Amino acid sequence: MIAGVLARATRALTTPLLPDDCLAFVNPLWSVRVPRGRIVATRPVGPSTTELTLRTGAGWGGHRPGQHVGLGVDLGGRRHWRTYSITSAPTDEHLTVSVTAVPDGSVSTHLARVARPGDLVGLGPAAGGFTAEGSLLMISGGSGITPMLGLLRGGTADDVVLVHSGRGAHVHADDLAGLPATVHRHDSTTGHLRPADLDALVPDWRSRTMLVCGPAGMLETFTAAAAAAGVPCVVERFRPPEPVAAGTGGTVTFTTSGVTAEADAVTPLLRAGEDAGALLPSGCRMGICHTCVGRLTAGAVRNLHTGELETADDGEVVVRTCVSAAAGDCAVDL
Amino acid sequence: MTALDHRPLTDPEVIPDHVTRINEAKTPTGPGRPGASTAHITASTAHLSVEDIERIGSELEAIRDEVMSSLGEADARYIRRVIRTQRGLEIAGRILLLGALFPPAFVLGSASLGVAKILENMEIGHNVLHGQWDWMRDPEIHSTTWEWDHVSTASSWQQTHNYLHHTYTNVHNKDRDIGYNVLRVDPDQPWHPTHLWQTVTNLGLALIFEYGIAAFDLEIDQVQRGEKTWAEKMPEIRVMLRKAGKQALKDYVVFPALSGPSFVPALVGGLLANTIRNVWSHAVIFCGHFPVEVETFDEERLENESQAEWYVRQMLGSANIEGSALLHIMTGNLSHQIEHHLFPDMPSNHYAAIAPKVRDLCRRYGLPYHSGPMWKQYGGVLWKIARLSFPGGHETIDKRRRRALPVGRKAAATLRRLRQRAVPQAA
Repeated sequence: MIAGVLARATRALTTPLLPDDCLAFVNPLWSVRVPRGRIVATRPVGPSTTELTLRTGAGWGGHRPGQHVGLGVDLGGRRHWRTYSITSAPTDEHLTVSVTAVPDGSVSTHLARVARPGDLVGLGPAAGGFTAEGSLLMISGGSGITPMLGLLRGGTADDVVLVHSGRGAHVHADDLAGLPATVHRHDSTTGHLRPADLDALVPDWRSRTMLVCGPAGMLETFTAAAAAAGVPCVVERFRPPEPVAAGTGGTVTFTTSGVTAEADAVTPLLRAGEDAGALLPSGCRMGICHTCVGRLTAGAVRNLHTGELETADDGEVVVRTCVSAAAGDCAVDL
Repeated sequence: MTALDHRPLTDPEVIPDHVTRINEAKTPTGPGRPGASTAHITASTAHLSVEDIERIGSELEAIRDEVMSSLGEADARYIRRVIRTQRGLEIAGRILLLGALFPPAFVLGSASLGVAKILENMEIGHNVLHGQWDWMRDPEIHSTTWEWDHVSTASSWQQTHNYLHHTYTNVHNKDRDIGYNVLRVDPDQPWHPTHLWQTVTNLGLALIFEYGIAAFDLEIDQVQRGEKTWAEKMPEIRVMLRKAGKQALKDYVVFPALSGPSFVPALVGGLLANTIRNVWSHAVIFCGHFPVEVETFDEERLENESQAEWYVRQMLGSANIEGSALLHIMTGNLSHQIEHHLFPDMPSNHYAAIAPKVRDLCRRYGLPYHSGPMWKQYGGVLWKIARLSFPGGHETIDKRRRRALPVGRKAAATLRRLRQRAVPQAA
């Protein structure tokens, strides 16, 4: 009760700001409303992969082994979000993730090569349900090792065999030895890891639950093999950026209204939605008043003013429905 | 040599695709198309063809695109620095007022808090609520999450200001900002005996401006016109009262109470800071749309108005204040009211740089560009309010508006006026 009175009194002092805004003003890590982390160390763990160690702020809600987290980075003044598997255990003091610099990937390149201890990053909530129980067979390719590290360090299971495939120098090669699992390394320079290889490496693989994370081809091959053998299989997919069809419209879903509308590439979402019977906020209808804004939850839209594409993958993207048209299927929380 | 010379301008003869797209999305008929209205023609635009106006539109779009595609790190640093400065000033002001019994602390504290409140409302609040910084995707500096140090709630302000005022700028019966329902600031507004003492009303409004704005944002006139009932208005009124209560509690009870023996001077300091902010924002806002030369428009003008015509209306219906960089920041860059009205969601730190380009555009197309030092603009506003407290005023105001037209155009306007006078009022 005293805490409640104290909280009310503090709010009276800081209104219209919240006490949280003031705490964040002193130290960004103290904010509960906008969770952040500070990089305390960086360590190269592969040819183009860097492990970031983060001190999490007051807003961090913890994670379960195998989950991933969104990291928010300001580049060119804009915040960009990317998702990475957590490699540390929930009980560890710090949070670790590994970032591989992707060619043409501005965010991953920044995190892997430019970010320095002391830098702040935004933290999304931990999410994902990549886990299993019992005897496990983990199959990973390249940076697909990261959720496996999270699971193994988090102590999810006792009986684990890990088959890790990579080209030449393995990502996290030094960390594989100390893991509580039987580790088989496979060099994919001479050819991809195939399900047929399992019989030699892990004779009892048919009695284990399969966990797979790696390139799309690997996921496809091994889910098919698991299905054929009747083995339960869980996959973690690093979602590739959705291909955005240029010059085509798509189906727009207004999630709050529960309305879907077909829209072409030049019709504003607002008009498409209204034509389909959705009750949408609107004002100037020309992109100046921001009355009609909604959060883009899936897909991409094209700004009719600038021709610029805005995709839901960038995180908290708020679009003005009156000057945005569908670029492929998309969803807005209006 | 024009300000536009140094960069390759997109060919102004060609209307870019996206302009046409926006036009078509907004006005299915549009200018020059069948059924298009001629209501956009006023004294200051009569010399322009539909194509001229469309070219003005595409030149302005080019200016807009150039800035919007250049936004980056430096802009993000700018707004964060302004916010840091504002919070620093606010904290300093509050701390100084704790010792308000000591006169220098009282003076410095009130001044610091007043400046902080001005910055918070104008360069930060107003502009963030316009969505000028939404491109950063920072949830802490975003039009959908921001709440400001003002009795009007952010969402209520966004409705009356961003939508009604900015879309229907200076259109009679549409833009409620014309006189804020209490003043007669345009000869076309019908005169009422209460206007006789509007100079005093205006002074009173300046002192309590934030409450005036809050009451105005509630759109109580909707109830008077029978469009809404009191019962429908009550939830809005309650939200506004709650916000006003919190603001008053903070400034006039909580902080003075913390000052202990300095309670009364601290309270006076808070009151003074709020009043400084009120008088200043009143002056700046009145200088934006009410100087003598600024034009107002009839409702018919909105019919089929294209994006380009909308741009022209914004330029004719706004006025700039000339002055130092400090003045521009303290007005929240509303001293560049014309640029702000053209591009309300362009980050305000860019207005100063595009102002010469817009001025040059107006010169080339023979359009007036209303701009002057603060004393001149505000003096004109006060003169106009005094003149219009009496009936009529069309003649005098029209004369001042004609005088603001570029040289050469003045002669044409005079000629037209004489010709119209020669024709008996048959039509």
